[in-house]
Amino acid sequence: MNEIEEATKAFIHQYDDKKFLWEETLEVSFQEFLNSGQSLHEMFTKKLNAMRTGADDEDQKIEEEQDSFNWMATKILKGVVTRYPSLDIFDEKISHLTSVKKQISEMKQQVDIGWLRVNSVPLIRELEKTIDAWIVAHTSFLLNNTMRQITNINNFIKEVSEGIKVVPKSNESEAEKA
Amino acid sequence: MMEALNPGIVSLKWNSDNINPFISKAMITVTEVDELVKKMKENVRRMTDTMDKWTKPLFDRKNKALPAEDVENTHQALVAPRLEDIRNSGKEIHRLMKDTQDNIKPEKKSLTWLSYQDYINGLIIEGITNGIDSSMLFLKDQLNIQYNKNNGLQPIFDIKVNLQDRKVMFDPTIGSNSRQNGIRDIINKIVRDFISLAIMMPGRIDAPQNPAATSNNGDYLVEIKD
Repeated sequence: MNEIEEATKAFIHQYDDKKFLWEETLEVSFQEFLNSGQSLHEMFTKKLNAMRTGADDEDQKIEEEQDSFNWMATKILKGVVTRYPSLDIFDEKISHLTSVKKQISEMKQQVDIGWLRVNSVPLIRELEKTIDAWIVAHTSFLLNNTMRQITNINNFIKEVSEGIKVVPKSNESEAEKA
Repeated sequence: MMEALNPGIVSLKWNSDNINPFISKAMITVTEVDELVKKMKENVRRMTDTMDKWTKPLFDRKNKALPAEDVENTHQALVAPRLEDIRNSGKEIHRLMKDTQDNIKPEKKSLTWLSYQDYINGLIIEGITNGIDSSMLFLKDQLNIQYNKNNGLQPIFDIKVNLQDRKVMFDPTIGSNSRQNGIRDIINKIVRDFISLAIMMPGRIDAPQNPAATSNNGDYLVEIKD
């Protein structure tokens, strides 16, 4: 019995490179992945700070830029996740998950270990379901977050387009009134 | 018999006057003893022939892998009638021993008869030991990975591997578990069935004479364990 117990332990170890699929929770792991990126606010502020020269007029412009960004963010980034890794890192992560999915699909459905026949189909099905959920979580995030931004931009454009049609009363000149 | 032959050894010669009656009487006595010895030997032969059948392994391997539960059920279906056969052959051994006793009508507490009983007990213990040993050796081979590989055998158990409680687990487990349906649990049950061969004999052969012996089933189990 000890011999077969050792052999079956070795069999289980072959799945070690995929154990994140059952040891980690998708929601927690995905949130950690998003948190590993920089937020848009941080990136913009960093970029502006790099432009600072110390000159008062330049700093004034930068402050205005920051205010402008913050105002725009309330419109365009409403309901949008602003902290996430770069698209390259997303691409790398999704490629890795896709390669794991391929490895799972290539797993042998039946393996003989001495006097035991191991049917791996239940495990393979469970892993396929899990890896699909992981891939969908990553790809759908990008799609949904981008769609949200586009919707916000469209709304903003619409709001501005409607807004500029109305001439503010206080600024109407005599000529305009006429 | 010694009493009948004594004149021939001590006083009679081939040309003695009363040699013929002596020969006739001695011949009757020797023939009776010869018949008895033949009977005893025949009974012992039948006992050992019976016990030789116990060496047929109490585990039958199918040539296809079966779910663990089916392996257990198949084994139970095989072993129950086999153990019943062994129980019946144990009764037959007792019957043969009684037949010997009825024929020779021994002094039950005599050293000679007790020695003979001890000899038969030895044969029975050897028969039980050989039976258990044979099944254990057979099972040992079946559970040897290299043996399976060398003989191109189909696996015995068909088990599943699945995700349970955030772990990759075999179903059923390889080791023992609380539900007693792990592979080790099943193997242990099979081994216990092998050992139960020792309790199939309906009591010791010397039970009535041996004050230390009782006539319950399993009396041989203690000696097998030793």
